[in-house]
Amino acid sequence: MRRAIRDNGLSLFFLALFVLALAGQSIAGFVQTNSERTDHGLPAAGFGEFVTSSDFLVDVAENWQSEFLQFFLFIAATVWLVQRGSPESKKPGDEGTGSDEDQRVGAHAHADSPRWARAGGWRTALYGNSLLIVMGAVFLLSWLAQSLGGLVVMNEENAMHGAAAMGWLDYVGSADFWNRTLQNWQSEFLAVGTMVAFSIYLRQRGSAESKPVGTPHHVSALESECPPAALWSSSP
Amino acid sequence: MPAREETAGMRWMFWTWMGIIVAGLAAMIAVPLSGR
Repeated sequence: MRRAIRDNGLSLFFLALFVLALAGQSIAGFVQTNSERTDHGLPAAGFGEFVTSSDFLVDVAENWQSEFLQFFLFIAATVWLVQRGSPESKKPGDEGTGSDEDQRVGAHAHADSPRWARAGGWRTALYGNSLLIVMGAVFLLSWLAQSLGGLVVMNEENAMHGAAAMGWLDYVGSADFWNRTLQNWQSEFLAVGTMVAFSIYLRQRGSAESKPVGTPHHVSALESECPPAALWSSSP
Repeated sequence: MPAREETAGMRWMFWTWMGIIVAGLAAMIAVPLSGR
């Protein structure tokens, strides 16, 4: 049990943080919403009612979509673009999807390679892009969720002010939708760009996100600089 | 010497996070479609 917790500590740590932050967001949002409802002379909502309302879920969705867009773009861009000296990047000259030999797929797969890496054909092609496909799908679906939730919230406000209800297409072209979207995107792009550039010159001893402290500034990700030959317990 | 093989914990972590994502997306799409 102790071994299992240690082996999965990184996932478990973020799982705990995620649950606590979402719980905190739901409580703070519930208090704020009910204070606004009281100001407008409306009866207070129950907690269950609030967390299953578009009012709460649109705020969750707009943050989800931007995070998954960030990772989607980061995964895709680091295939083709490099930053010399960043541990987040391959070294210049390594751009692209790599040879089958480099990627250990098809005939170059090892006995303990994933089954679909060995299979060849469409299965290896699909598996070879599975991380990007899943992150992209979560981005698009949470962006769709943001648009649907945002529309319900906007139409509730329109109804309170006696304005006509809006359709989905009108809403996805509205300032409200793009304000919610772009305010999240800008911070994600800032953080990714900063991480790529700062990690050229700054270090965190012991972190997998940093180069080892004594590594020269011009060295990119070590896996790209010197491919590890000993990762596999078996030969092809 | 750490084990060099896939463990049940690795599968648990993968499917736990996948479950959170799928359940979250389903809720965030179904709730506004129901008009709430």
